[in-house]
Amino acid sequence: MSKIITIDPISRIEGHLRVDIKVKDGRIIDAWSAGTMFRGIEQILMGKDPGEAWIFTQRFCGVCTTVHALASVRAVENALDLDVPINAQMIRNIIVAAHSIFDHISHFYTLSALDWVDVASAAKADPKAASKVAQMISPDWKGNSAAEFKAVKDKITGVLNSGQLGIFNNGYWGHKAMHLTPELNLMAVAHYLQSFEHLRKANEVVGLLGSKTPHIQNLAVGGVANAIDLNQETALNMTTLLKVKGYLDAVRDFVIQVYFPDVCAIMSQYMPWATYGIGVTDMLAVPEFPMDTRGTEFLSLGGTLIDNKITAVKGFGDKYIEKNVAESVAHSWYDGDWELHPYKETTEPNFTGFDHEGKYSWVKSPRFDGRRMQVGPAAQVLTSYKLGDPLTQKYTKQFVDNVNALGAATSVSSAADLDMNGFLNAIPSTMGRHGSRVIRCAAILDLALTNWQKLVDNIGSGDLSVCNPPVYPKGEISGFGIHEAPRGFLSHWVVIKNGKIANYQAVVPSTWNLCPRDKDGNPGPTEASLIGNPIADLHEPLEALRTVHSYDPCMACAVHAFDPKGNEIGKGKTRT
Amino acid sequence: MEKEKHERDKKGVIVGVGNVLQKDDGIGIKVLKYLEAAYVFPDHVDLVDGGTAGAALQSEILGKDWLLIIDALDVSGQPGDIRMIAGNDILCRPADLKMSPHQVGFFDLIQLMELNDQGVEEFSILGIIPKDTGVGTELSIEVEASLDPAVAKVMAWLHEKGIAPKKVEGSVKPDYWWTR
Repeated sequence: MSKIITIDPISRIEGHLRVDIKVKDGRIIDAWSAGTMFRGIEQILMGKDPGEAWIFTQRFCGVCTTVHALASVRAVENALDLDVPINAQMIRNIIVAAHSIFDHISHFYTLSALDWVDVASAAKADPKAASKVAQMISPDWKGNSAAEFKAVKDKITGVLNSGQLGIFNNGYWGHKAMHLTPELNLMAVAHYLQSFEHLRKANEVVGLLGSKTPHIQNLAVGGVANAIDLNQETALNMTTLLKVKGYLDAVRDFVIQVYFPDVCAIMSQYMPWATYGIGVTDMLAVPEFPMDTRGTEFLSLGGTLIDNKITAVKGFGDKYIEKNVAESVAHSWYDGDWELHPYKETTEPNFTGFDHEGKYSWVKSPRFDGRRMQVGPAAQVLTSYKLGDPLTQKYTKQFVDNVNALGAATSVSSAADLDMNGFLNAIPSTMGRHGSRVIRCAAILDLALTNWQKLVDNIGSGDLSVCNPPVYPKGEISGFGIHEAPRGFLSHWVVIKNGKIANYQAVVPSTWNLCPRDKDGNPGPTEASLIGNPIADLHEPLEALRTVHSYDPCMACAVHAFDPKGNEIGKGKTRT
Repeated sequence: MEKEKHERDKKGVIVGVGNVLQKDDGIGIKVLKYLEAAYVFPDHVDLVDGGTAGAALQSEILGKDWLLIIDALDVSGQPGDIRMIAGNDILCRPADLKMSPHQVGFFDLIQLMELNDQGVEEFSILGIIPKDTGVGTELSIEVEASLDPAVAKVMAWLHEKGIAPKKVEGSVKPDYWWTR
């Protein structure tokens, strides 16, 4: 006898997502992922000046603001065949890096740690023992003292006793699937609180270069609007640049000494999750951090992995991307049953109710050459590893080494014996997605510093140019902008007619990962990866949340939407 | 002995939040843009267009004594009604109780700051009940009509603290860029 459980909404994500799972004998045998609110925000852009689109698109969502701004200017630049000065590329790159780092740290600690960490158990830990464990994992980190852990333990106890659980609400405490020792739980909660300061530092970088945060103001089609003058108080000068470097260095310490080893430590205790959550193994990522004015050389690589065959994406404007992306609405609440290229898409809503056999989501189904693709850090790490990127290879090896060491120290043989091939095969899994995110985060910090140096050197050589102003031709042109965003491959597609926007579509990472079935009935990546997951307790489907959260879903822009109402608490509702 | 800070000298920040692309949800930003254009604020009072952001606002709030949020608020009442709510009344509720779409991140932020002993002393919300949060850049008639009373309410609230921003001479030209 099987049961269908509806989890609506999925909590601790941005936006509104419903997931239905069919469970039999303690395993998920089928799954449906549904974006449940519609707003077609692109329609606001029709008829507007393409040079201003980015100001609007960065308000699609409260999390990924800069990514939509960047993809938008790149789309218009692609349509105009416009180069971008080196200084502008570097400034954009450092903003991209800082935003990604912010996003990855907050995803792990704020949005998904409670899937693995039991706060109630942390309150029972011995702070001295916890400090000893933490110092083994990250020996040089000053925030691992017994006194620090005791203070955190007291705080947690205070929160638990007050009954006002705040941010710890909706944690699955005491759940059968929680496996960390009280000491590891306490260490994780302490680091969660410490992560906060580093989120701020990462964000300061965005603010210093972007002139304003949360919504940056320094972008322009053709470059950036930052005036560079090393001798001027009001311009981008050396004082500002040194501040940027100071923040990046501080955040790097946290990522290398805390976030990276924490993910290794937690995952080493949850090794079965290297086999759960695999689903779709075809991967798609794009290169990022352009180092030249045209976007042909990149610091970070990307490509497609289809049936285990790797193909590099060459850069901005690569026809391989342009001709192969399409979106289907076979199971989505839009008029018709089409599959269309983003230049030609329409967004006519047609809500017909939730139907497991028919239409059930506001999210469309993007396809690459007709295929489902997994996007995100897992795709980025796996494709760039296979394309021979040394930095990705270095941090991937470090991840495996750390898991081995922790496995050996805690007598978990599956962790102690994990080898490189085993981990590469596990990258599309629930654990692999968390591992890839921190591997990418560490690599990005190194790249940010490379970009910083190149910016300083380039300014030092006397080049102060920041923008090539656009000229819009008569007639119709089209272009697309690609960006390897924190959640994966993002693309904006624009059609411009006589200098005004005639069509606009954003195909976003969470659409690729959280999409419904396609016309042939193939489940989307999240749906496919839920199948086979264990469910120990039908009323507390924690294991399903682990897999869903591992994609870092951000439904606000997946349907360009938000949830304007509702007082629901995200717990499973069971029905037969 | 350190003298207690006088109320009017305490550092504060007024944050407008909301999505200007979703009609009435943008009222918080509109009020903020109006305040920016119509008044000169003393140096220890910051005004921030928080947009749709949550956790990214940490730097703006850190080190402040008080925080006033202006936002569309989905509570019972008539569209355009204005509510002044003490922040603590909201923080007692479960974290994912949704009253405002971008609230999840923002309220997480306030709670985390509290837990890290970085919380503000006083936290209030000026909420305006929306009618329509569909796609668009125009406000509903009811919510548009709440702009002036909302501004007056913010001013009265500041006056109670002994803060008196100076009215700008001549016509006020707020930067409602999204309506261009």
